Amino acid sequence: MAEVRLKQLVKRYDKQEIIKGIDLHVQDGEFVVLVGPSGCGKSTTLRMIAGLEDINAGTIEIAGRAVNDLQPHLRNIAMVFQNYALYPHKTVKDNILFGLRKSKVSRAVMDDRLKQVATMLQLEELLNRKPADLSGGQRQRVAMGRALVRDADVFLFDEPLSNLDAKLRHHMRTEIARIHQNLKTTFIYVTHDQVEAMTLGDRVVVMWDGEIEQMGTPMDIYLNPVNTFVATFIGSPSMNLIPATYRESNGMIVMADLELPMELLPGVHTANLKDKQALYVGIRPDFFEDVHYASELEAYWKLPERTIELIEPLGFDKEVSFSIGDQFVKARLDLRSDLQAGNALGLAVNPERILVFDRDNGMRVN
Amino acid sequence: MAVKRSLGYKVLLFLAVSALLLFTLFPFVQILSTSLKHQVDWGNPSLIPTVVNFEAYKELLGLTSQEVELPETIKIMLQNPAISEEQRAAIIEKFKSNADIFPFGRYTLNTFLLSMATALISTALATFAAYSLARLDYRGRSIFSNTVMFVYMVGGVLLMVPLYQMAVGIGLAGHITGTLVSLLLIYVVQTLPVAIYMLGNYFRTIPKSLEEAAMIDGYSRIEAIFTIIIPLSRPMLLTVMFYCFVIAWNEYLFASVFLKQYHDFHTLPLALQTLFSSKNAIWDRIMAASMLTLLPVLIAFTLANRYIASGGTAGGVKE
Amino acid sequence: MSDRIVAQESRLGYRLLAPAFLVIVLLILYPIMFNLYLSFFDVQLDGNKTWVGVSNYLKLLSDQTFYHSLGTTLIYLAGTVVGTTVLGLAVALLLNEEFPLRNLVRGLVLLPYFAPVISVVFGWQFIFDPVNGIYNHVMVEELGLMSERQNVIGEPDSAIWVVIVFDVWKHFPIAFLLILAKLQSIPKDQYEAAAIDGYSAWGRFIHVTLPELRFVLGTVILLRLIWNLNRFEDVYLLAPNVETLPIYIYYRAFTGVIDQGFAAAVAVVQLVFLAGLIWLYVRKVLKW
Repeated sequence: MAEVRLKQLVKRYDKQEIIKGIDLHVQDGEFVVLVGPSGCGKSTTLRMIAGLEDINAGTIEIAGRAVNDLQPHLRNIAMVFQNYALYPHKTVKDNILFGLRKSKVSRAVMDDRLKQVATMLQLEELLNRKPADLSGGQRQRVAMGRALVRDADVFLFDEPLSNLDAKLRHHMRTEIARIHQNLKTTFIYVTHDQVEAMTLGDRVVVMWDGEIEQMGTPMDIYLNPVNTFVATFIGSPSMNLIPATYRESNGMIVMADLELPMELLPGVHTANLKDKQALYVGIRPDFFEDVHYASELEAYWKLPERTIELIEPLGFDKEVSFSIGDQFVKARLDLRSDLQAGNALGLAVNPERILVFDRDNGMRVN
Repeated sequence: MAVKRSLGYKVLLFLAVSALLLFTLFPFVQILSTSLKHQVDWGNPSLIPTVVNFEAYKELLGLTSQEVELPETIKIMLQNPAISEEQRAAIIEKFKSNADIFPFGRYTLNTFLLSMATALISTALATFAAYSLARLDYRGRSIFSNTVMFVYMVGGVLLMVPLYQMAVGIGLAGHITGTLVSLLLIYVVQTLPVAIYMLGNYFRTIPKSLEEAAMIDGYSRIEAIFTIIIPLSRPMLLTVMFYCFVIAWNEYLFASVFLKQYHDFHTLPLALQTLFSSKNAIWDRIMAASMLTLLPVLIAFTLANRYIASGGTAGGVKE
Repeated sequence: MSDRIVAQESRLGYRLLAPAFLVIVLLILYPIMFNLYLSFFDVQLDGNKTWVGVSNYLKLLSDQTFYHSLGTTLIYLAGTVVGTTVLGLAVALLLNEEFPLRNLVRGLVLLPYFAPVISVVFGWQFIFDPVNGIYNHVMVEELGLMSERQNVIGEPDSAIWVVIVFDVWKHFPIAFLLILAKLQSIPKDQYEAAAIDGYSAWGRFIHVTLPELRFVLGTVILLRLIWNLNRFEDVYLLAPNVETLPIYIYYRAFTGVIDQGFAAAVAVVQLVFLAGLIWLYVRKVLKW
């Protein structure tokens, strides 16, 4: 168990900066998820922590000691690889114990840990098989077992679930969350899947283009994204960004034929806005409510009626599409709203859930 | 494509495959057939011997109960009851070994030892070099890599004169130990580039994450080579050893240059060539020797082939 | 800085490469240079040398047998390269068809390639033996194509054809293997698309198969040229009277009137040809 600190970490390939000086402090026992689109540098960051990539500038500290000059085998870390990287010539048992054999723990401790891990990951029946004889899900569990059996300072996960099918992925996600709750060790987890990031992390670090865009608790990032990148990357379906302009004369944000009164929105200081400033109004599909069922209609912003253009049923929910000007907008409504394409749609939104971004630089203005 | 083939196509295919097999296998069948024929039968175009004759094999393998011509005095001496059985056998053996036979066993042993040593040394050196070229990063690596590619294609005949002169120059060619050492070194360097090339290509197919996993598990890179890469490459290492072995087993050029005057140390290619050019009308013996020379390679090929088929990295990494 | 890890890795790289590379430098690169040096000397078997300048090369240029050997080498190269490539391609196409026991046939076809030269050359000698050989029997007694039995291998002019056929027999399997591997990697849907577009089997071969095989055929041809320019055992053991360049060098260096400096000069000439081929291979094949 240990904390991990990244200070001004830089990675270059052929003079191009892949990691542009990031700072991150992972607390002891914390579960931190690095999330971002492919190529954002999240895996490279993880591999630098592991010592598998060299560092061009900055420092990495594990348990208070700078590890820049230490080769991976001296860093006391454990890692689960995306492709599992199981040793094909070793049995499941030998795969799992390979690390412990090196650290020279006693036979008894070894057996004990093996048993513990095998039970935790339901590997008891598989211990004498070779990787080739395992299914994808089983291999993934062995890869987890190989990491978890060790008494490492930090556990690193490099997209460990990305090769599983949807059902299994969901199951293993729950397993990993449970394991962390039991072990309370430091986990650093890389994924491109924002659902994994949201469900697993104590803290989520959103990365883009070699930089950290935002870090915070999952809910914080979901409700208060700092810019349009984080806003659209986190959450599914993605947040609606409706082009808008600020009209100073009557204090309205104008979206085509809609007007949103500024005074409804908490935290927007009109002083920060200029007349005719180009904005985006961001509303998550989940935050639209059918006027017939909305809870506190008085304080809400009620949209003038829209015409439903498309309905995509999802079971309990349905995604309802309509237009604001040229912009296609989605709302997620539940079973109660019995609607059909072509129907008129009355919607309302809690103004606290309405985000306003500057259209030029994508930053939040409220 | 799921097209129903016509009868004409099937007949044509059958004829073509038969012709191919006839072309490929006929020489082997001819060798086997002649090795089993009596001299009177050689000119007979039929591949089946009129009488099967194992004499050639027996002679080569030293299984013939040779009539040992013992001088009268020795015969009398042997009747002396004071001489033990072992001593008696030793005396008879002494006369036997002077008999003019082709010491096939000895030549086989020479060739086997030399080829085996070549295969072992070459594969060992190549493993480390190939790993270095395939996996580690350092200045000049591509130059080293290209050099290996280049020397891979330089034939032995271009090095024959300078290597001989070098051996003479440092006095290795003057005695049998030096000669054997020179020859072994030459065989090693003749097989080294191909071994590095094959192993390098193989190592590149092993996912890097396996070594990375081992290093994360607390093993240094060199330990990872020994605990992961080498065990994992066993089928390929055996294949490479097989190739090196066959190259050495086949080698005639340098053997003829270096070993010419050391008859006891002749290798099979040299010995067979000598046998072939020195005597006439010994087809059965030559063909039997050919079969026996072919045999270990066939066995090795079958074994190595099975290893190759068993597949190396299958399953450890997601397909 | 973690330049230290990078440095450690580089050091390990050099250390692992060093033993093998040292052997290569000592026993290949240095000898190549030494050979060039020796080509300017009159060299005795016991190592005595006398500087003769370029006279070995002048002698070479005026030597009729050298030109004859060059001609022999060209015929040998042309015959074997065309033979192995065409037969390799034909066999690959044939054994890519489906029929019972196909895997067994594929394995058997490899036999000539893996069999040691020494264990098959004498079998070939026997086949062409004037007294007992099946070749003369078929040509004279069965087909009547020749009026009397001939010593085919004994005559250099006919022996070279036996040497070529032998080489094709021994080396077409490797061409077959390379071409078959490529054939199997051509996606089936390309053939299906071509068939739907109305191409017959021949059209599919011309428009789908051949373009895909261009690269591998180029590889096969260049590699055969390179290896066969180097080839010694297969030619010398079967027909010592067929003097391709390697055999020409061998005779000058170690038999009859020994002239190692002269042999070194011929080796230099051969190395120049070889380097040209290797350069082509590296430029055209490895970068294709």
